[in-house]
Amino acid sequence: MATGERTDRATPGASAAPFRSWMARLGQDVARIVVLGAVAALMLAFFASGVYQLVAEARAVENLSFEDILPSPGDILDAWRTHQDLLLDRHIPETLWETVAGLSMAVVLGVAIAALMDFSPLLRWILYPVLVVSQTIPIFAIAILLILVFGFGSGPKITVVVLFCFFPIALNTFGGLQSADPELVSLLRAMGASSRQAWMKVRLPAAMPSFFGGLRIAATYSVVGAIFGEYITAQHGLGVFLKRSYSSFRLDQAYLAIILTALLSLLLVLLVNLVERLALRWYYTSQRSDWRGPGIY
Amino acid sequence: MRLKPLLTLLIAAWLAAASAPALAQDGSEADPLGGATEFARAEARSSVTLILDWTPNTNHTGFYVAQALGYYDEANLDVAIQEPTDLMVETVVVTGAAQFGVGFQEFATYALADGQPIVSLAAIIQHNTSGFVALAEDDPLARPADMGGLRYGGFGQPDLENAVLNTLLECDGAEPGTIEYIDVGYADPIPLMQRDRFDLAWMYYGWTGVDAELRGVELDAIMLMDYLDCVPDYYTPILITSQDMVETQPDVVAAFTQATARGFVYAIQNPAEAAQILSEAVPEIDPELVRASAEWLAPQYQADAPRWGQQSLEVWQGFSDFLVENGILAEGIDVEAAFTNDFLPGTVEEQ
Repeated sequence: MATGERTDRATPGASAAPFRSWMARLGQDVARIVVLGAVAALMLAFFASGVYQLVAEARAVENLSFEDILPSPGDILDAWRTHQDLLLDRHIPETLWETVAGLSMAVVLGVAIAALMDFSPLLRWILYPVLVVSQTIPIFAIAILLILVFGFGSGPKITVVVLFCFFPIALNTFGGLQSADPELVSLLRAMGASSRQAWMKVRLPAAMPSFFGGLRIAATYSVVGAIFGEYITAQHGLGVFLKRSYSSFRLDQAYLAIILTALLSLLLVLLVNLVERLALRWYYTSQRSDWRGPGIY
Repeated sequence: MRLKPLLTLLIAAWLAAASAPALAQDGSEADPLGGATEFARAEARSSVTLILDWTPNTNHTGFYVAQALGYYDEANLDVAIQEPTDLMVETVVVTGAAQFGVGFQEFATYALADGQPIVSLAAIIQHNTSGFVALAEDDPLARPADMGGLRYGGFGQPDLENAVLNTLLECDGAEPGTIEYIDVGYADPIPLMQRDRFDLAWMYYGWTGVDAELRGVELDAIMLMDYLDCVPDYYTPILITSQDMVETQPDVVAAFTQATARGFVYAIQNPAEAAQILSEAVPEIDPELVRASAEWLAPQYQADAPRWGQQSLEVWQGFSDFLVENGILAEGIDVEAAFTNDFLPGTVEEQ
């Protein structure tokens, strides 16, 4: 009934109105189908030609053998035994320090940016493109700048980690803040809460699951970020170990470095999941009994 | 009582015999240190940074020797060695972030043409030890013309790489422009060549070539140093600093250069020990490769120059002309300002 009344007010000539609005809706639906269909068709075309290209090129290769390229697990284990002390005493701690320091700073920076964007639509309008652009800068382009500003210490490496990691945290936390129930905020305001209280009690908790999603992604990339930072120049770290191994054609050592990187990344992600489980359990006490969290493990 | 003079005589004779090989070595080729017995020291204790061109390898042995054996310490210097991959060494040195760097004549020439005030202090290796290699059993190379029609895996400097290749082809009477250029970056070329992705690669023989030999891969090489009448010789790698350092801290420059010279001279005369020092400083690089490469490079550091590190105007001018002739540079650089031998130890006769 209410819909009919609105239609009557919107279009003069009450008898023609339902037909016109039906035509308009049909037109919109057709347009939507055409556009979506075109996009889907385009994507399908690219997918098909991409797959075809991959298969055709792989087929064209005559002797696809992986010996000399992939070291055996035994070789990698030997490399570990040879360089165990060096890795444990020098390289791994250095990379771990750069990673965790960078990740912590990325958390603060990411949440701060998300809060700013949530607070002011103007700031969001300014910061969103900056966020995206920050991820498109190739490292080699800013490498010399980092050296000039920070010298040859940990500064450049930590900066690269922050650069890699703050983006998923900022983006996801922002999405989470935006997903807060506006009616709940209105309710709190109606009961006399200040905007800060409303933010702390409604918006921030609503953002927590998304924040941890972003943190999980950031943790996955953080170790790799430290390694890329070490590529600029470094004296210690898994990236240094990897580079030196690769340049002297020691693939067994190189693959050892890659495996260690993967293990460290996995460790960090597990840590994030653990923290998430504890933190969110505290917030969502009503679901205490069966709260599993969206983490993988 | 008669025993004592006899013993003294015997000891003196033994010492003379022991030092004879060393004397003979210095006599048969010019003293790599230019006859110097005392070396420059910085006026005050100075901390300097040396930035390498890549990860440490036997092009850098002298630096690590000078550090391990205390030559830098004696020169009143504290040296930190950095190894980059994503940085242009010339830019780092010019901005002053590092005081010294390991560069190459090609890149130094480009930097100078760009107006960056670089000064080359020493030629770390006297002649070009790079060459074009192919798998001996697939594409035998006896002369440059044999490279015609092959696929070349380049590292991303097609202007220079094609210029050198085409010049070699033309010198040998072959048609230029028949080599296909494939950009493979800095990937290890040998496995790719073994899988027939391309046929030809340009490498420092002293490192990559020696490694292939150790792996039992048979390579044919067209070494640039065998065709110096075709493609001019150029110094690669070189020790560089900024014009600013030369003007404001010449004592530090002299101290560093001369201590470095001592390090490389040690590497010339004691390749096995020098290799050991490098391996201890950088345990991640393959010690077997380091040792084999050090032995290969030992006679190359100084080669036929009057002293280690000596640079000549002809080499700098010749390569600048080559770049201009091949359209890589619009105009030549001021080669007089590009390099100096003034900071090397000792003296040599004017060339």
